[in-house]
Amino acid sequence: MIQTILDALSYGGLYGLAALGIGLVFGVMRLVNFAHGELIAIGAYLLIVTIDLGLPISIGIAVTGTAILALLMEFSVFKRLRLAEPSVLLIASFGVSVFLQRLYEVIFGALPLSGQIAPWMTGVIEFGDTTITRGSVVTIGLALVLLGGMWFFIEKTTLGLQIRAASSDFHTARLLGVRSNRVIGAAFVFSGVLAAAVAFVLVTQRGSVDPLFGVNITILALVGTVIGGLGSLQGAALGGFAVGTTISLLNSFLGNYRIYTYTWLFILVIIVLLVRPGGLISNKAVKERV
Amino acid sequence: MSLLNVKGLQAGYGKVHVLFDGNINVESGELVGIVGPNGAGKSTFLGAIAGAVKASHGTIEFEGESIRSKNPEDIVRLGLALVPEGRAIFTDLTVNENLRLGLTGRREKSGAQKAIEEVIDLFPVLTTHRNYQAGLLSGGQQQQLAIARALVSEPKLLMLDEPSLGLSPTVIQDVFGVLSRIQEKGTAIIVVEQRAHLVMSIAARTLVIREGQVRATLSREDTQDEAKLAAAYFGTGEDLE
Amino acid sequence: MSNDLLPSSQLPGVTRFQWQQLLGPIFVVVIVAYAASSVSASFAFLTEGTLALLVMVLALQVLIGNSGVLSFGQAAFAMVGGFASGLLTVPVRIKENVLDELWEPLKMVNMGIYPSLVIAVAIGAFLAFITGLFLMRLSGLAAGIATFALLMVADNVLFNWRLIGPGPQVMPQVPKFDFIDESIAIAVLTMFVVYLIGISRRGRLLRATREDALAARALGASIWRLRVLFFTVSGGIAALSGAMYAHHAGAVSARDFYLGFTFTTLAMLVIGGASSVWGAVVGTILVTAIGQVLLVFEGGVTLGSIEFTLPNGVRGLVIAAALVVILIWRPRGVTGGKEFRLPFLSRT
Repeated sequence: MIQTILDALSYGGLYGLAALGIGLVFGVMRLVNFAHGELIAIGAYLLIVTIDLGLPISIGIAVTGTAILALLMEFSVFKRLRLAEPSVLLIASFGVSVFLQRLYEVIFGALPLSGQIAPWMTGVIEFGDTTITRGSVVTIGLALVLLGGMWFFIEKTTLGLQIRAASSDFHTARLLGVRSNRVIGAAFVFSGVLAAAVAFVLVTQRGSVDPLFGVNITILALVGTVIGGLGSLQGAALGGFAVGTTISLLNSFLGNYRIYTYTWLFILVIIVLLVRPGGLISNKAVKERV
Repeated sequence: MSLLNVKGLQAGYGKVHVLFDGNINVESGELVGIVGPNGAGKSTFLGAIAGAVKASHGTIEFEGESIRSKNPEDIVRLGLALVPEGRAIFTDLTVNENLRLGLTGRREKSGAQKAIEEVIDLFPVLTTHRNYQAGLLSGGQQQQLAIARALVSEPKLLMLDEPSLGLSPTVIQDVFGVLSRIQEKGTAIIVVEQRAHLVMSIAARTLVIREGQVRATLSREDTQDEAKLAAAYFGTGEDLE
Repeated sequence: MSNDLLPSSQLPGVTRFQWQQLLGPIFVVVIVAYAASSVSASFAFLTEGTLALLVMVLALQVLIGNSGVLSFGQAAFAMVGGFASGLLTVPVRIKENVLDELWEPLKMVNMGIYPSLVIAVAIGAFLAFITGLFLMRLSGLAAGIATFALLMVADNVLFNWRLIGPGPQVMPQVPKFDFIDESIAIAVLTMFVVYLIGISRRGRLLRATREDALAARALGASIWRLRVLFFTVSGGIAALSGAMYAHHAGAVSARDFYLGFTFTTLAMLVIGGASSVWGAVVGTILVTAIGQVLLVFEGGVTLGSIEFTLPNGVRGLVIAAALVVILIWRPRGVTGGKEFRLPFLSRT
């Protein structure tokens, strides 16, 4: 029972991190970045390829590499589409996503690449009669630290304040002197860092990475972002958390019927978009920039 | 050299032109009004000067430097701040956070806190609400916050778009009283208004914009001359120069 | 707005019926299809599959090109069409052996390819109508995400529910078309329908509403009705495409119409130009041709004394890159969003 709850919390934390990464970029430029999954995938690839250098160095490389790729996306593609409508951005990010998937296939091959990243995470901890997995505890800890760090950055720093302002009204933020490219670049960098954290947890659990590694979690995190409220950062993180815990609990309790979890989740997405376009958690509406 | 000099400005949205011939000259410390009917191009005029609306023709010089192709975030750093129509404060953020955002456009980076304190002295009502969420303020308080936020960047020229919009007469008096005090401190001001009397009572000169063009310049004395006012405003008879 | 997928300036171009606009693309499709299929049996097979894709791209075009509403979800209707037409034509004996969990009446029914195509289109259009009633209240970003959610729901249901299909397996032994002419004829028919509904009064009205937000708001509910209509037509044509695919491949599964299919057909439309039938045709042919050339290189090509071999994955890479490049530099697609025009007949 305790393990079930811990699993739910760790899934929630993981999906919360992924959803926050998507929500950050959405906030400042109204881009739903399908290619967030490929940021997670490159993080996992970098971890597996460089793990022989030792875990700290490997993590450093993965975080840096993922952040750089996020910035590269912004500079090479999205920066050139500043005036485009959100739906055009959506197609472009779909294109970037497929482009990177195929690029990984060309570089690393279509087959999964295996590696042990942090074997100590797979063990269990015993408390008298109950045992819990180390992985879930570490994931929860990591999620708490990162969400706390992001909260501090967003709420307490000047750049964080500028990101919040740009997320709610980009136009006015610029009139006050907020540098649009700097804020958008920062959002991409932080979404990259969050993607690397998600990659670390996922690749430790699965022990391998393939070109489509990040697709599933991105699609589900997207659900969380919509349910939580596009454009609201707390909403995104909470929405992701809700989706993660729900999936985990359904997996534990529903047995065979869990195969239809996606159906209910995505019907919920459509209902939210129709009835409460601002999300269930946030009270803001999805405003499209003019 | 004038503080701001705009000649033959054309601007609009996409293919729709709104402003055809925008001209204005503002000296340091001067308060200039702009009036005109709804849809005449007043907001577009201010937006184009601030860099928020793309100008297709004409010149904009601020302290002798051309700023027509500059971004809004760079223009505010030169000392030209715009308080947009509808106030556009960040309702989710606190009053204090709104003011801190105003610091972004400051030229000097030192003395930031002092700048906020100096500005907030002008707006006693804000001092007691500094940690309130800005969306909870009344309309008049929000308007004062928007002005205060722009002042924090220490502009040489402050532009306001319809500051009286949606406010009650007493609150309007407060807001316009503040404008006079700002001007006394040496800041030049451009105020766009639909209510001509309001702005003409404090402005040395008032320009009339109609159908995207600056059609006339009125002095403070013209406030009494209803006929001249109506002629300038609605375009009956000859254009006045 | 410089980056406009669905430009306004093109609008007046396709308001009046012009034979060249309709017959030009049809002529090109017929010529290319016959020429390609005469090369070899494998080219004929490829051509047949490409014609099914062309019909799907036309399904996207009739919706996106006219209403401006982006949909990632039309593949859901292709999935339904493929399943429907497959189930109705697979021999009863096969269904009893392979699809043993299938609903009894579905097991027993059997008919020819053409009646099954009609029923598939009807089912696709009906489901599109029902879902469109809700989805077409949305536009822009929200529509993009909601239609994506629709695809996810369709995939999840059809991938798992063995009562109405093969579930995660492949439905085998779907009867194939006998001749390439059949697919060509269906594609030509679809082009007729898509072109004619595009220049119809309703099509022009719908395109006009995209341009003028104020007029759009004034028309209000009737825009929603028009969008539902075009979503329904698009769903029917998408189902036709799925059915064509099933009778082309001789087998069908849910994952044939998932993200890869969605991406390929959307890329074809955007690369060709979303606002015209001609754009759909050019995009489909162009993307297929690029893919084929690269496929040859992936197999290894000797030029002089040097042997080139491109690694697997390069095809998808190039097409995805082309999509992004087009969006940035030529958002109206390679045709510029124009309908087909003979050079010597051109009038401006």
